[in-house]
Amino acid sequence: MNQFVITIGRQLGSGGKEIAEILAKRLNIKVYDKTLLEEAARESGIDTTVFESADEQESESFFGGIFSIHGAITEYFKGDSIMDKDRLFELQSETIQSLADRESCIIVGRCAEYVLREHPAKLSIFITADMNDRVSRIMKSEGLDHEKAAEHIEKNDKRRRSYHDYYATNHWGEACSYDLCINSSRMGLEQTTEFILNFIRNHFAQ
Amino acid sequence: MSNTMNKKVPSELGTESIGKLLTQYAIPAIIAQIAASLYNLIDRAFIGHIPNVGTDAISGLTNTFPFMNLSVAFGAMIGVGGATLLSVRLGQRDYDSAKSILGNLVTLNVIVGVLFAAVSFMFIDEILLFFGASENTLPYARDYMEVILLGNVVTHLYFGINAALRSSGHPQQAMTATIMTVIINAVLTPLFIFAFGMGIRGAALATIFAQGITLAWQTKLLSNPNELLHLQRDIYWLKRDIVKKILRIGMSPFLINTAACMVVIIINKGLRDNSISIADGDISTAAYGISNSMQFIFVMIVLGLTQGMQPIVSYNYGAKHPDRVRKALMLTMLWATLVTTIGFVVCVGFPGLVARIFTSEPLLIERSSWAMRVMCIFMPVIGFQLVTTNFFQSIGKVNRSIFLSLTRQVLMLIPLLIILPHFFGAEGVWYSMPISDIVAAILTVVTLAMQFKEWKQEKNDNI
Repeated sequence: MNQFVITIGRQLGSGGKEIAEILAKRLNIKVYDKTLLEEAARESGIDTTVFESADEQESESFFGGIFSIHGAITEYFKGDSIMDKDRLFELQSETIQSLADRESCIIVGRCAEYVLREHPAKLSIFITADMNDRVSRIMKSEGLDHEKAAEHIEKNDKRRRSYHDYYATNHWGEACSYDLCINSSRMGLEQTTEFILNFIRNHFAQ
Repeated sequence: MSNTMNKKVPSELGTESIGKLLTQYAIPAIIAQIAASLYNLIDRAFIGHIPNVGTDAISGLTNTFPFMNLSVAFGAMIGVGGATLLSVRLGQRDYDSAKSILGNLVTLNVIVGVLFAAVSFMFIDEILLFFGASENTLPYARDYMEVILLGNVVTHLYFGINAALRSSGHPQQAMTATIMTVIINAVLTPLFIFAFGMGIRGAALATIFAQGITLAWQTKLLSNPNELLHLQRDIYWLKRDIVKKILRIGMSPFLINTAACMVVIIINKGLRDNSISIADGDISTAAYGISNSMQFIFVMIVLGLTQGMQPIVSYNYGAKHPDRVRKALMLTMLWATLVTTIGFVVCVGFPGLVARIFTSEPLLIERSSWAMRVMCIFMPVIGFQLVTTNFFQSIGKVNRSIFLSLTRQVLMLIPLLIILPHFFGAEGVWYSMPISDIVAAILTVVTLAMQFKEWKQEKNDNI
């Protein structure tokens, strides 16, 4: 196979992260999730913690909105702040693009399927799961009780959707935004990964 | 446009000397700020010198401030919302979406501009009286406002397209447009008022003409088909998704401007309702218009300085160069304090001279002089306060920034404006302003000290 890039969007607790990791191992390529931020930090010379603070956060925090445009309110110069979330997203997107140009890789989240929408060899995948499975996964990984885990998931869905739909023109988790949407509860993580692997191989074999 | 595409971080921000960087980044911003504040000052100075009616006219003009703020609020909702979204899409080189946003921005500006003007026109007297006009000043306020409202769409389009120009990689053109309106307005205002004998309407007409001519130039710039982003057919149909996003982002600038509008309403009403006679209230209102214009200039210069500081501080904070952050903050504070101290010397030392720019009526000069002395008594600390507010914004501590900014302009000021007149009459309105300045300055010192302590703690923890 020639150089390619796989983007994986996922619901919290859907097993998307695990699937991405197994896929990477089987394809013998790297997976970038949070590590993407370290790459972006290295490229821009800005500290990783700064990127982390803006990572997949709700886009329209009401107060955040007020002041990110403070300069513009008075009509004159728009403040050119690196700490501005829009600028950070732009830098992060440049990193996604240069990674995709440099090597075959898997990129998890961060609107990658939109950022790379014109990439010639890209497959975009979105992974969901049944609510029960998501909740039990989060209960285990975060050590929460059932109610707290469900609440955590609900908030996270809202946050990821708002982040994604602010920066991208397609919609988070909607079938027409991706090449493949799959519910990992149907076949379990292993079989789902196998299914996706076949999908990738068949596509790029053409 | 191609040079916006590779908006890498300028590395000079981490290496070049702070003083040189500050000069380089702040001077254009300061020029733009001065130009914008001159715009108001020139209008008010000419209106104040209209023979026989100067005081009532300038007072009537002051009554229109909240009206103008409200119009700006609606304009900013669309303009800032659209321009922010535009810049996000351009950052992704998503030109199809960017084009639609530009088109939607224009369409929304027209719709909101027309609706605002139409509704305002129907209730113009009621609105102006509610905003603090008196029966003597109402005719002047109405004369001025009617012309402004007729040109409201032009104003909104001018602001909206300027914001779009700035965020699409043409900041110089956006600044040229701002300066252009100031110059055209400065030439036309005396021509219309005095040569054509149009009175206060002439000032409003000059404003609309200046914006209209500039709008034509902006439109020409944005119609260049060689640009990836330009005005073209089929981009003007409203798209639900885009409209929703524009309004959501634009909600914050809308609310800020609405808050500013409310504060001015309370000041105008306070001056009108606590004065011993209608004429006395009118003089106070006119004096507020004059003092406000003068203080505004110095505040705007400081805002220009802080806009120059912002990229330097935010980059070096992000890149973990605390020494450079501190140096940039200190240097900006020093300059800002120098500016507001000069303002203090001018407004408190020579208020009579300043007032004469706007009027030749002895009563108004006297009232304005007194008002300026009261308003500006703590002016030297404003510089430091504004810089710190912006500093917190630059390092991403947005909530602290908002808290400090709201303290001075809203949280402290509004209660004082309501309470103090009960004890001091109209003078209470004037006292409220310096009191909220000094309280905000004290809170600012405390917040900044807390921040430095936090950093010291972190540093110790890391060792």
